[in-house]
Amino acid sequence: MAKNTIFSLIITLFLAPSLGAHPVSFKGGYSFMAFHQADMTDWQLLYTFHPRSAIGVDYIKDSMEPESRYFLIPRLSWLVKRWNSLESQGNLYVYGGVGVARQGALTQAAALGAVEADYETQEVYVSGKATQLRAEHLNALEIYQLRAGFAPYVGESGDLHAWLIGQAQYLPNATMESLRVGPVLRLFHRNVLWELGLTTQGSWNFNFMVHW
Amino acid sequence: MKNRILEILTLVALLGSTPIWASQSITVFVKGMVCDFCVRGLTKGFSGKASVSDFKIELAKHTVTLNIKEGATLSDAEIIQVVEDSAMVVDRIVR
Repeated sequence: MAKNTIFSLIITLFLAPSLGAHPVSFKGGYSFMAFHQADMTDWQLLYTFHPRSAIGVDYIKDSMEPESRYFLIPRLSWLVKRWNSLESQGNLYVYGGVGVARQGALTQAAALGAVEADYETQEVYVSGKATQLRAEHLNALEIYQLRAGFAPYVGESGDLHAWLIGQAQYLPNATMESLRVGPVLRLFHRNVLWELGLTTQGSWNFNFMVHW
Repeated sequence: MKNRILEILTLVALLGSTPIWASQSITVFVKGMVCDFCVRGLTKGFSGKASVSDFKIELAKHTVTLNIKEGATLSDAEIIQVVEDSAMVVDRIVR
């Protein structure tokens, strides 16, 4: 058990992505994102085939119930609106897909739907996200997340960038804690991003993202 | 008269030191370029342009400075295409 947890953390920290961050990158670009917290793992592999659209696959392990649930969802991401200025960028994304869910011996069709918005400059960042996973005979998995952060210094391209972010998540069906609030440290170097977060309840989360 | 000759000689010297095939520098001001993930798309796009010898991206100035190979050209339309492939927008191009 411990070995599996350590392996999962290593994979998440060094090989994988995050729950929805940058669902569309640049035309011809690939993204790998991993998100890991105590009772959930989400890995995403995406290919941006158009400046506003990406396809990919989402693998989610949800351990909020006594028996873990697994989702494998091919998905489409769409950048609905981008606001660009010299100093800032704002985005509105929707994404979703249909795939399969498995819990024990039960395998059935499942659907993912999400909406996400963010605004960032080189100094501040805010985002909001609502995600739902549904399958006919399984409880819905819902995640609502708000974030706000700032960069303690402004780096140039190629520098190591650091961000301090406050994060609040609401997971109405979670058995551990439905409201999770805490700080996140984001480190960002070239095309690789790591995040390490802590909730007020004492659990950790790790995110990793790479674009190429 | 002496000053006039001096001016002409200076002009000739300056022209002589700047060949007409000298490489060109282009500065592109980009809207929406706020992080290194944005930079990644532009890096990939401009790296693929045969006419670009090298380039420098400066987040603080919101600029991409492109150095064009001698005798080569890069049109505004090509530059705009690279930027728009990353869902960003060209503010202005200075040649």
